Amino acid sequence: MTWGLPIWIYLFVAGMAGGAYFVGFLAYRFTGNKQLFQLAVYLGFPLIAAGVILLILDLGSPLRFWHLLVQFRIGSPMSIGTWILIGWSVVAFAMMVVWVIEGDVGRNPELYPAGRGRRVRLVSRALTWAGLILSVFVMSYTGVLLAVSSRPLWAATPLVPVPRLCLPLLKNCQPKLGGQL
Amino acid sequence: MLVCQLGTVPTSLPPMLVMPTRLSRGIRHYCAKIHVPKMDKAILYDGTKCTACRGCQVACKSWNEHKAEETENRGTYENPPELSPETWVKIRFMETERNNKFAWLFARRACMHCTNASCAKVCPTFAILKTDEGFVHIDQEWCIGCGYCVQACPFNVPHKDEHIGTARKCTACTSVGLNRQAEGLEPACVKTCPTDALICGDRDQLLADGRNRVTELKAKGYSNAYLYGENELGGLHVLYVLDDSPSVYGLPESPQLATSYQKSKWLAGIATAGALAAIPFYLLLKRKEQLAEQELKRKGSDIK
Repeated sequence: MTWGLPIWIYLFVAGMAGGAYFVGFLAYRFTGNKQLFQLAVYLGFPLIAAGVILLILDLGSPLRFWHLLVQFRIGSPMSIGTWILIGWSVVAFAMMVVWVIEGDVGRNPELYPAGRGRRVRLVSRALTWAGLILSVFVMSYTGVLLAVSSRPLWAATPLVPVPRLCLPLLKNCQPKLGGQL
Repeated sequence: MLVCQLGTVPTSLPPMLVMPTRLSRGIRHYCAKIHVPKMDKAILYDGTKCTACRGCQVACKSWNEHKAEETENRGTYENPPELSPETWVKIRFMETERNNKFAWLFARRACMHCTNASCAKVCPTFAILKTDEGFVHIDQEWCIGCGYCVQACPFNVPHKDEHIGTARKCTACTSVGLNRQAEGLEPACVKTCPTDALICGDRDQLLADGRNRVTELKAKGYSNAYLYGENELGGLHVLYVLDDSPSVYGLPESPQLATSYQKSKWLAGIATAGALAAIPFYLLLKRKEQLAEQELKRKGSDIK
């Protein structure tokens, strides 16, 4: 087994971040509890950042990690995963920035041109949906990554991504939705 | 055309062109049809001629400047126990029984240089490419040591070197600076083999030779004789003449490409996410309906 402890920690951490977003999003849609959703993003972003650092440190040549960023390969789950993680981080960061602006527009509407608040809300909404799709991929790509191999059990079934999605969600549901739904 | 799928690269390039070539790998991979591959070459290993002198192991170490490894006696002449970043070829010893008699069988273990190479297909940086002769080559300047090829190889050949930080394996003597093939020389293991159990040449020619040898063996009573590598994974560039079925020699009977069924693997993930999102919606709607019904019933009984 080439992939050791850092990778298994990463799998846990990435599942936690992706699952938190997914559950947070659903809770937000169902109950309108935005704070819970924001908490999921504020938690998820540093988790993903820490996970990415673990991934880079586990490379044989960590300083060459940029080789991943100048190539895109649709047939390699690791290449796709790189871009998924970048995409999710960019969306989550943008979301946090938009929330700050949104909050300010709400507090001091007289400082902004008319219609700004509506536009900011639209952007924020588009970002949350983009983040939802990406968070699904953040969780499932690692399952595909493990399944696309020649290790006997993983390669024999297309179902490795299923627990990769279910487990983080169950893990997140308990504390989050317990009192919500 | 299959070779093109992996994105081929000329074995020697002027230094100025090296960087642009590396960056454009992906692009060349996606417009694959430009390149016309040359004649495929291959190595033919005849298990019935091998005496397990392990001259190939020594020649490989010596040519590629690899250190010897310290190993422990495991009660067999087979040594070292496995391939490693510093051991690219080894002879596997098998002790079996044939017609109630002890039989000692040997099999070469090294990179198979598959046409459909799993390692090359999963490599996220296009660091694993094929030479014009069809040999699979890990570019040591571009490999990041992620270890995906180690996971993907159906023969468990590449190994990650923790000191150098890249994945390493047999290059069929096409390593930069140690390129025997570019000089028109045979790979070191082939050159050193004293019984001609290893031959290097045009793949088509070797296929014909191998088939003849298998027919000979069958005529001698080895009914399971088999030419391994003719069709496996699109055709291997290391062919094996075996006097028994591949599993006897520790070779997988039907090796699979790691990237096969990849779409269904992605779909499984996405479908699960869809189901997990839909179930709470469904349950919530159902609950609302139930509540509404109860409300209706209560109102009905109130009127009565």
